[in-house]
Amino acid sequence: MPPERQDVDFIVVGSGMAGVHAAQTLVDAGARVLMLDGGATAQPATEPPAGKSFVALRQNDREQHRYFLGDRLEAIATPAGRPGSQLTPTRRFIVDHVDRWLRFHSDSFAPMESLALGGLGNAWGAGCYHFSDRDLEDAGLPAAEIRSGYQLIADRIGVQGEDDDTSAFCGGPIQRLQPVMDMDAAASALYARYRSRRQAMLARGLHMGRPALAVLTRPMPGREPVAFHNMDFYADNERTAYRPWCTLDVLRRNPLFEYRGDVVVTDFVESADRVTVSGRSASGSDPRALQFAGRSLVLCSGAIGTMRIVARSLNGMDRAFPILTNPCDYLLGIQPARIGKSLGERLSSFAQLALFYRPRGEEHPVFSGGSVYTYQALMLFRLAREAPLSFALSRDLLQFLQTSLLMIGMTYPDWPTRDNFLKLTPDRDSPTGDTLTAAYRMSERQEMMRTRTLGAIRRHLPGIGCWIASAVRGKNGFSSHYAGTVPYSPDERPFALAPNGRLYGTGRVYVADSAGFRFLPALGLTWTIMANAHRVARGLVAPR
Amino acid sequence: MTSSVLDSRECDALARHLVGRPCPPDVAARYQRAVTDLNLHLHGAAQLTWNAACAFVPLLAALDAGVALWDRNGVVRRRLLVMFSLLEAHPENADRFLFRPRRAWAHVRTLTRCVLAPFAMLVGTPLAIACRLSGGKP
Repeated sequence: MPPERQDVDFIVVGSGMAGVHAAQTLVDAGARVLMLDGGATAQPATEPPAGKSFVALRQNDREQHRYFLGDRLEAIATPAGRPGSQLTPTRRFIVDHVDRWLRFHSDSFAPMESLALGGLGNAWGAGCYHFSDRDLEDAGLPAAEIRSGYQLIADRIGVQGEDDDTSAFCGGPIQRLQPVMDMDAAASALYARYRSRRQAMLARGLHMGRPALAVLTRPMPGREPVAFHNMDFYADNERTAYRPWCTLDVLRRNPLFEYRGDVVVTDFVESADRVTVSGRSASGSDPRALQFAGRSLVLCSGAIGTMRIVARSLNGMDRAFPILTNPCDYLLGIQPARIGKSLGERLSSFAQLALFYRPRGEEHPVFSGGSVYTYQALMLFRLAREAPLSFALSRDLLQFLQTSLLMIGMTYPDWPTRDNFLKLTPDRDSPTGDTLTAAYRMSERQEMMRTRTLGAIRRHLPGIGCWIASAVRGKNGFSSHYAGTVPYSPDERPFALAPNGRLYGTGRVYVADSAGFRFLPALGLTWTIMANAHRVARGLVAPR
Repeated sequence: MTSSVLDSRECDALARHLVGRPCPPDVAARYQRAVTDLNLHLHGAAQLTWNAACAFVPLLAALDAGVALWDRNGVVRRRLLVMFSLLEAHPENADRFLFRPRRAWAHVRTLTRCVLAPFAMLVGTPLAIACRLSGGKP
């Protein structure tokens, strides 16, 4: 059977953050692009009604159980620790079809992968972190090009932010930032106390500030500024937070661009003048093997998805591929001075504050970073089931204490080690003929950073009115930050990337997602993924 | 006694224990469906303990406290969690879960519950162990 399409310049695999920005740059330069994607989307029937606040829905909507718990009680039924268990029911489509097509087995690593339209970008917390030049160098990325990419992406997606004590870790010279949005009363109180004791906190290595967020406070075409409905964990009704499909909607209006959903790409074959991509129907609606051909291929399936495709295509079965992920901890804090006080009316579910810890005497890039959330748009059952108390007493206490609670997610950097790897192994029961296995454990260096970070937070946050009640170690892979599976290398070697993103051993296959990053600082990597995808794509269409 | 009558009493007992008011009919229907869908069936001593607790709410409070300590992943605690979450996701109970400032008497009531909690745990411990030994896992 001949391939379905043969006349496109580029086939882009994946519609996540890397895919849409690579495609946008290619189309802007006049190239014809076919995007292949799993394409799973949310079921409209389970989406909450637009324009209603979290409190209004809780007080009035008799169907709220459908999106707060799920039609099949997914919010309760999914065992904690299983990939996707951290998603709210309305975001569960992100992992649709994954069990079937992306077979995975590991006792030490639990990544979340996606075949959804927009990929993991649908669950992005919207944090925009600017890697320093040192971070970029360690990751194998050209600093000057990525810096200009940050600005271009910020202009495309809309980013709010301001200069503060966290800028040294994640800020950059970005123009045209939108003003930051209002904080709720609990975060405002914490930040005010931090500022009043700023010098003492800085001397102890703790830096606090406002996170840059891809959340609008000024309108952009087709998107509205934040309306403070506080439903951000459940819906994107106002298109306030950037999602990949915002760019995809623009691309779909361009005749040079074609989107083909319901395709799981399995592998590719390269010939003298084209690349042929094979895949299957994600939903199973078409039992045939699918084939598409184009002049070049740009893989944007995420670090793990790209690794699967590369391993199948270049005889990499049973080979150990490196994997990077930010180990994480979830801390529950309480502000006693806030007990019994309201959070106010203008609420949003996004991170309210950014928090960094760098031990005295340590040099960049050895720091831990995290985000501070207030507990305001999640149901109490999530906390009550973790408490060693009866549900009745938990409800009584949490109803009153919830406005004084803070959730802090801390992440730690990651470097490649021999202990941490992915391996694609043959599996006759899998529809792709293989299963991905993995091994991951934190290094001694990371364990030491974790101990020092948690110790410093426990010791010093009470100085600004926040006591840490508990700290839970996130399962390896729970940060959803993945990189380094097919790393950049200045020297040609198998299963590595040239600096321009070309996969060594091929002539027409490029990787534009985080698979190439050789280092992960303790920062969200999404903005860098988008900037790098633009960089790789621009290199492909630049005049020679 | 028919199963549906028992289920209805069970739902009311759970709702009174968790939020202090009867169970709305739509929540009861969802609860009964969830018990089947999530395979939260009880057997033997666990079933007897559960029935007794649902017939006598103070015993339910003790069982709730006991399984929170000794049988956190068991069927009894999962049933309590299901009812808790279904009640929370119902507009008639929003005032029991969303934050609101409290008057002094409410603080006294919470304080009393905290003082009584160790006793509830003490009474609930043998009940929870009985459930753990015979209740199985969902």
